[in-house]
Amino acid sequence: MASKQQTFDINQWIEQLKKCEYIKESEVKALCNRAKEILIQESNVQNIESPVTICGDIHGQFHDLIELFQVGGECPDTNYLFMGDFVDRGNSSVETFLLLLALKVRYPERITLIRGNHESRQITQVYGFYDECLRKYGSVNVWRYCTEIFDYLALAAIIDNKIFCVHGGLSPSIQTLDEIRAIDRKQEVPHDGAMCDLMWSDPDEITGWSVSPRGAGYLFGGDIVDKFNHQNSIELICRAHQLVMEGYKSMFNDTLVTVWSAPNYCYRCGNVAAILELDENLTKFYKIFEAAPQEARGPTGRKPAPDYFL
Amino acid sequence: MEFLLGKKFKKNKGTESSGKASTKEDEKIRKQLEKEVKKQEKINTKNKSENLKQISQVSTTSSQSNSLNTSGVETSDNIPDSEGGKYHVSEIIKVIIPQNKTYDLQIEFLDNNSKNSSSMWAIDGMLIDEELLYAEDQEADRIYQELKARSFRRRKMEESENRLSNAMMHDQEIEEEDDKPNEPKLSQSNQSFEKIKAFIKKSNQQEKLEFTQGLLNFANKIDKKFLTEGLLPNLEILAKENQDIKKALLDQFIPLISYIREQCGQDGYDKTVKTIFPLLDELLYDGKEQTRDKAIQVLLDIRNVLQQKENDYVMNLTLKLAHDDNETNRTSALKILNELAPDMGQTLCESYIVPEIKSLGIDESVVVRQTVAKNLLNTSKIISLDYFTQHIFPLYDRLAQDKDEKVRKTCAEVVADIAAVSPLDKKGEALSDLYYRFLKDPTSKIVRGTAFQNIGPFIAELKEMKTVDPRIIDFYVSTTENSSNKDVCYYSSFNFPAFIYTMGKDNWEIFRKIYIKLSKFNDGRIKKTLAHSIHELARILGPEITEEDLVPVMEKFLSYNVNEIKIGALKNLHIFLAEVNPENRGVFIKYIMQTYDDFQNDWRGKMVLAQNLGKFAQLFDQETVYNSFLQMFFKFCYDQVAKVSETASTSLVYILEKFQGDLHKQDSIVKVVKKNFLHAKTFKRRQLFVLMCGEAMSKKELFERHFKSDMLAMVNDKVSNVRMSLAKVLRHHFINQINGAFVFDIEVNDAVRILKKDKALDVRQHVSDIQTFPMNEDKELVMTEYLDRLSTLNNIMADSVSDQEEQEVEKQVHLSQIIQDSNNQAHSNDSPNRVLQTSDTSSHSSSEVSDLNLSINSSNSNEETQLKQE
Repeated sequence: MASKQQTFDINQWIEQLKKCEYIKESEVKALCNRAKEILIQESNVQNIESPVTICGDIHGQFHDLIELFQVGGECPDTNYLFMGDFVDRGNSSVETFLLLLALKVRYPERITLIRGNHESRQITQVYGFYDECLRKYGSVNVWRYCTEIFDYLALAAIIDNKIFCVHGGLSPSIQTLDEIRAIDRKQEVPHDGAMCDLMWSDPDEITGWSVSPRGAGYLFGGDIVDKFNHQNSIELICRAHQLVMEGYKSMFNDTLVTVWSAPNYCYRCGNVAAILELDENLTKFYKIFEAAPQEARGPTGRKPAPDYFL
Repeated sequence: MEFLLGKKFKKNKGTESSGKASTKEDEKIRKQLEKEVKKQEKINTKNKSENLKQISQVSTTSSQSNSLNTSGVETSDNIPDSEGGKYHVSEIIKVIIPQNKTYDLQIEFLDNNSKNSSSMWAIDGMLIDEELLYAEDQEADRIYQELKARSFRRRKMEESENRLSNAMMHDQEIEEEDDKPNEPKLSQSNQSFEKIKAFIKKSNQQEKLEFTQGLLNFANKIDKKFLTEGLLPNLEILAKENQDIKKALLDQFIPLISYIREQCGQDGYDKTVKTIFPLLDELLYDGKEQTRDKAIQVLLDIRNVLQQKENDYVMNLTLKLAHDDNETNRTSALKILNELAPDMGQTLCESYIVPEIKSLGIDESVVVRQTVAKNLLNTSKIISLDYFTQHIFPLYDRLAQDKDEKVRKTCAEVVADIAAVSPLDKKGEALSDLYYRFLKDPTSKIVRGTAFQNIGPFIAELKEMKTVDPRIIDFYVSTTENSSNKDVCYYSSFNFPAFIYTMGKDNWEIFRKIYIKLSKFNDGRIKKTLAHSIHELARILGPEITEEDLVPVMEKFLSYNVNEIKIGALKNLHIFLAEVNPENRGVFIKYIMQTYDDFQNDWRGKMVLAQNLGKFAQLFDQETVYNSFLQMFFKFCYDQVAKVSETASTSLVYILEKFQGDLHKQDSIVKVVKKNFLHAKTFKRRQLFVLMCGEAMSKKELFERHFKSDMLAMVNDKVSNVRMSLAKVLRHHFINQINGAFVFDIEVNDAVRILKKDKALDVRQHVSDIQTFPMNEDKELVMTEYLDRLSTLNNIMADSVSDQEEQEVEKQVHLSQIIQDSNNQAHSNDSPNRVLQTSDTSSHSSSEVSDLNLSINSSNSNEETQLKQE
């Protein structure tokens, strides 16, 4: 009852967030401040060591994220790389992003978050995150704290110097990883240029580059991937950004793979989701999972009805 | 098309002057064109209409597409090659513009939140996303318009808020430069108050709403000295606006209190509370129901941010509500009083809350009296038993005989809760009489039904009494016996365990017949609840009755092809089986194995088995474990769902315990486990091995014989996640198992000491607070020496296992099939790489299965395995 002094109890917050309870506004602020200190030290192309489990879009589907951890193992027992698009579309963007962020603060070495095209002020104003913050907190402050964090997220990651991970794809203005490292990433996602392309581009069965029907980023063909991989001594590009009904899709003779981790996307697409586990030898294991069943998505906090009375 | 572009450009020229903007305009148009293409393609497929025109080739550049006259429409030929840092677009795009289709691409918004953001992006953001791209025209237009309007308003709001904030700062600076030392402070705050007031006054309704929704946004912008003097007094104006603004304002009260306390300390907090409560008081009596509801919610929640002394505010507002003419307010007051009770303490509850509840108990409104009945509990728990007996119980008793059936029904709903807080002397006759009246209510079926639904909870509350009113028991038994109503029989079933719990096994004969009847009732809901509770009955009734009456019922539940019933029965089957003589448990094997097959594609179903696997092993003999459960163990450990494999792994030690009489067999199983988990190439399997060992630490001999040295040697595993699992397992042993067998074990303590210096932070953190033995040991531990020491611990029993014996175990559990299935699952796809991947991993797995040369006893066998496989 007596007002509690603000404490930084990250374990407590993780517990709460895992139950899909959102934490207080002042706690979000403290969490974001701490996250900023950690993220600011990361490179644009964050170096990661295997083993690591790679995940694609989550889009606020909180219960499916919990399902993902059941299938892939809890963080920190398993290391994770999330390739962006944590928010928008789903019903629980706030809880989803804050849980991932809290895990990042608690286990900075065990979880990596890179930026997707939805980690943007403008996009989130249209596709749900802004409204969700307003609805759940009565003000847009939490949205402000979160979108500030978006600017600090790494743009890409590289695993054991062999597997390049990015939300969207390649950019015609980027030939080498060093060029990505040189970007000043602390800004809103621009509407064109290298940083935009990394988050917006898609692979396609074409040769060379082409305009993207999305209106931002580009379409790129297998030859572009070959060239990029060769030039940067990379074996594989891992990306998300596109819905794949089977959860993942390998292209260009397995030099690029799309991983999609939001099952039954928008609660109606009927797709399965996938994560890509890389062990310490970079052996690939794809794990497929479906949306959490209805009884696992119920309002938490309230106990389920008992099965019998005693 | 030309026309459209031309028109757009004219507009653009009129308002934009910078060259940068024109580039953006090009880009914008390009995007617009592409959007149109996509939309048109969709239309096209539906309806091959004629009015489409191909206009040009579009290409795009990473740099400037320079001049206005090219306007982003040019051929691909003149784009430099990618060698030069640029690139070309090979595709020629048909751009088709439907009639009457124009988007005003003109508006540019600067996002204040980010200095670098492009001014166009707000519109682009909307244009770009695929939802709009594939939206029907009308929907696309709507989204577009909405975004445009919203961005526009937001920008305007941001701008005017900034202007206001700047103006206030400016005033302050002038004041500070001023010579007169006394006056400024007052006039300054006055000025900030007037400025904000003028700002709010001149805003329209929509702007006021958005200002209110973003109130903390604004509070963040202004200097903190303006918060209490400038902003707070102005809330009053917003509290008199329309319903939406009032609701938005109510949403801000709680965060605002926190924020101002954070910024301005106690003084600011006091001022905020003093400002907000009168407003809240007013809004609680607002003309609109939604506003009142929200205000009541705030009144309930606001206690979370208040200091103890402000509880009076809440209490006063609530008491005032309790006396209001509006019956909704009186019911709200009752709910709040019930919530407040625990915080108020006994004296305040007795002197303020109880009289209030009592007077509302004779309220003329049925809803109010119902609400009284529903909200008695917290208060009852706080006040003294005497006070309860004198005031609350008579009140409840009177409500239980209320002339309105709705009030009586509510009383029947809470009867068990009332029994729980009643003193012993009330539990006997008084409550039984009262409850029996409900069961026999002469006029209301719904009261009788509600009472019956709660018969179990009520009976259970009477357990401490020597006897339960026989009228109630008779009523339950005869009603159940004679009823064919699904609902009645469901509630009978749901509450059945409470009777057995209360009456004990001596009275089973009274209930036996109705239990058999209920278990045969053709209704899934009834079977489900009975399946979930049957183990409780077994536990109370003991082996004799269990075998005689319950085993046939259990068998039926397990053989239903309805997962809900089966899972209900399986969940606690081990508790049930413990009440069945070992020689009679055999029949249940087939049900367990059948469900194991049924749950192939349902990991939650598998979890029920995985959780109980160890317990099943304990309940059956060695042969059964070897023939049935061992395979299940391996299969689950290879399951692709981490939760399943982690859960199943802990059952190994209970499986091995079954082979204490056949140690050679035990050694063979351990050898196979080690080959596939300890020596696995993939770290996840080695993590599982750590979990297997961790559970085994509770069985000292077994752990020392098979696992100790291999598990401890994992301090040197190259993957930190494996070392972390080890750290967790050791932590569990030291912290949670106070009498753990290895708390004083030198090697185990040395492992902790090594992990305390691990290079990975997360590993160190898990063991940092473990007190190692012997204390104050500061001898430096050298890894290689430690590993050598461990290797001498290894006993050589496992070495005596022959290849043939090992293969026999593998064959028994169909290990190669399990591994193959697991690999197929992890790699099944249609990518061209599939064959390659599968062959790659099958060779990998076959090396795991058939590489017989692995040196089991080598302490750094992981590295060796690694080398061999490389």
